[in-house]
Amino acid sequence: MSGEDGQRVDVLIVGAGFAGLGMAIRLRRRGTDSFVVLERADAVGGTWRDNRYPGVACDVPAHLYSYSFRPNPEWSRMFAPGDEIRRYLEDAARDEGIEPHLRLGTDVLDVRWDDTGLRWTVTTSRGVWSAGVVVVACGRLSEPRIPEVPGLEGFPGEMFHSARWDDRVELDGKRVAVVGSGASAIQLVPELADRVGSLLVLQRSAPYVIPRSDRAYSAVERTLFARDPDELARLRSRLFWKAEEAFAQRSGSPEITAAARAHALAHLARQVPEPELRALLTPDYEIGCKRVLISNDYYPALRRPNVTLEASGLAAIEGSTLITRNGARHDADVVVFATGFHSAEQPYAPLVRGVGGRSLAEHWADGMIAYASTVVHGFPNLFVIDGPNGGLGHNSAIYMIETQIDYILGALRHRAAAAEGPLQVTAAAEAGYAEMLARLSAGSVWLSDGCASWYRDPRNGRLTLLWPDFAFAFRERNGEFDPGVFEPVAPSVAELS
Amino acid sequence: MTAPAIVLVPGPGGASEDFGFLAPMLSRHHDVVVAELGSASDADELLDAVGRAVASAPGLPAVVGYAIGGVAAVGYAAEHPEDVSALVAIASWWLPSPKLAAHVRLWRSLPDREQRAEAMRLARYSAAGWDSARQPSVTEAGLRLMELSARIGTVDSAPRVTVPSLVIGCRDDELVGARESRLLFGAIPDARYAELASGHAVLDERPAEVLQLIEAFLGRPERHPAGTLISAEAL
Repeated sequence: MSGEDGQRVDVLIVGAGFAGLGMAIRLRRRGTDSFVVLERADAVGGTWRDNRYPGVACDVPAHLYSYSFRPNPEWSRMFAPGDEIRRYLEDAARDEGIEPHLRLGTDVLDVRWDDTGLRWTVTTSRGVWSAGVVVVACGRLSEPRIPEVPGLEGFPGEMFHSARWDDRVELDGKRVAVVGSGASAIQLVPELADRVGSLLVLQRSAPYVIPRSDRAYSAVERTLFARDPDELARLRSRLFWKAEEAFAQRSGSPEITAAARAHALAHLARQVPEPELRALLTPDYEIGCKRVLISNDYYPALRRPNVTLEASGLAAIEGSTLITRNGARHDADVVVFATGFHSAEQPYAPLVRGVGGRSLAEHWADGMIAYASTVVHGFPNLFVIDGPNGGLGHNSAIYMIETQIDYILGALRHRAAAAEGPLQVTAAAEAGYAEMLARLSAGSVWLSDGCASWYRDPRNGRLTLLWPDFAFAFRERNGEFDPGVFEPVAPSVAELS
Repeated sequence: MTAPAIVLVPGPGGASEDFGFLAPMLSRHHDVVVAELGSASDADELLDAVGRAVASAPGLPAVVGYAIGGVAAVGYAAEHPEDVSALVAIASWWLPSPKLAAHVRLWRSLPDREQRAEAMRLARYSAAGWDSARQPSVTEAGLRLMELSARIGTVDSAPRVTVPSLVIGCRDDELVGARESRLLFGAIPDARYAELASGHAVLDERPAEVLQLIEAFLGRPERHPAGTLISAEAL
């Protein structure tokens, strides 16, 4: 494939998950053909390709967690299983004619702004591209994070991350340890509890868990959705606005927050009668600080005789013995790391070099920031989807992604019409956006005392992952490209004084 | 521009029933003052209650009213155009519908509090929004406001409102009737109209959507020119 060396393309998209495919589909539907989608893996699907652990499912309702421009009357359940979402994305790529634009198994090694040519040079494991515009759609939770603990390398059994599930590893009857108690662990643990000999769950901090109102859609409902698209649109609207209400639990209303906390703790009390176990599962921080999880079978699984909850983090491994911070020792045959992803420092940031050779990682040394959560000063004609402050704790990521796609399409229309060369957002606009975010997040649960989460950058405590407002407010503010805050980039400008 | 202060005028249920979501969420970006309708027994006393809240709000507030609170807000904006900057009337009306009067007569006739509350709940919520339904509290003052609701409208006041206005109607409102909300939209010169898929209890059924409409309208009232039918956001 190195035959593609030196190929020119107008728009180069990195990543073939929900964001990258969505961008590609919208370009294709506009009749644009000069684009490619580079994907390091050998299939599309992003999160839903990587996460194939037992029990994986989306915790946002399927009719909301899907493209507005590709409604799917066939969703089997309220909350779709992971493989159904992956198939949805594969079908979308095929049906929308994206496959000819896909370059799978293509690792992006370097993305560099050419100060004289005023284009991006993208070096990959399969050749070099020259692109007018780069769309970074690498996701937010893509790079598995495994804690660095002494003795990890010497563990004699099998170990892997939940997002790199190894089907060949025999689990039945084994002593299995799950490190972590977040969104992946809570789906995984009930599935494993049946099969394994014994299951150990290591919990650094207890999650809030609320009931999961899942159910299958009947054949009659699916037929109605297919026959009457308005019915499906009405459902989507109801799901979206119902989800929006939950933002009030995060900011601005102690009463609503207290009601949400009581709802979660009542679920715990109903499902866990034992006072000792219930105490270990009672969070010691305010609800909403970390992701609120939904499950009906996590707590019951922890009550099984073959399951042990250790309310402590992993400190070290000695041979096949896991040692927790509280000094407890447990032997295991298999360790599953459900320990999340690198989020504050995104893996693509060191690879992208803008004006004057400055990298995104350098620009973001004080925490990620992007104007409109999408464009970065010093990185002309580059757009980041799922980037800084584009995440949500209460509603669908797809709504945010589609908002960003609309913004980018607006920028591309402007670029085509204005012919004034590459555009970069001004430093002042980016700083103003950061101030606005600080104002919005003040008083929110995420910045409250005793709240630590992956939504914040550990280097300085800034909230860099989450959009700290309603989803509709994100679209209101960031849904439309505004050329007024952009400035042209002159060739060979010395950016640094 | 800086965000205007907001005066919230509740319906017969009072602020705690109606504005548990809207008041704290609007307070994130606005100074919010809540009017107390108390035991107002006629239209003049309603306007006085709105006036007291407007007087305690900084600057020129926008007045946002629900149900009879919206009728009062329209009346106040007509009488005191120099004291308000904008108007939002939610599930309010031009003329009270005969069905509203019949419901209020039924509620008054029911012998005990629980039956009354259940009858109100059935009337206030749509079938589709039934999962949001709460048991309303029923006070004597609230019941009197409901009786007043069945007697007053905005026929005289609405045409004299000069400030930018947003009228929010509820498609499945069995008490007010969406048509009466649309007539109110027809009567206010500088009005735009949005209709939500909800029963009368829109602040329980679709509160976040109401918030979005209010924030978008107050952020830039001129975004939709007078006479606009605002269509639902594509999601």
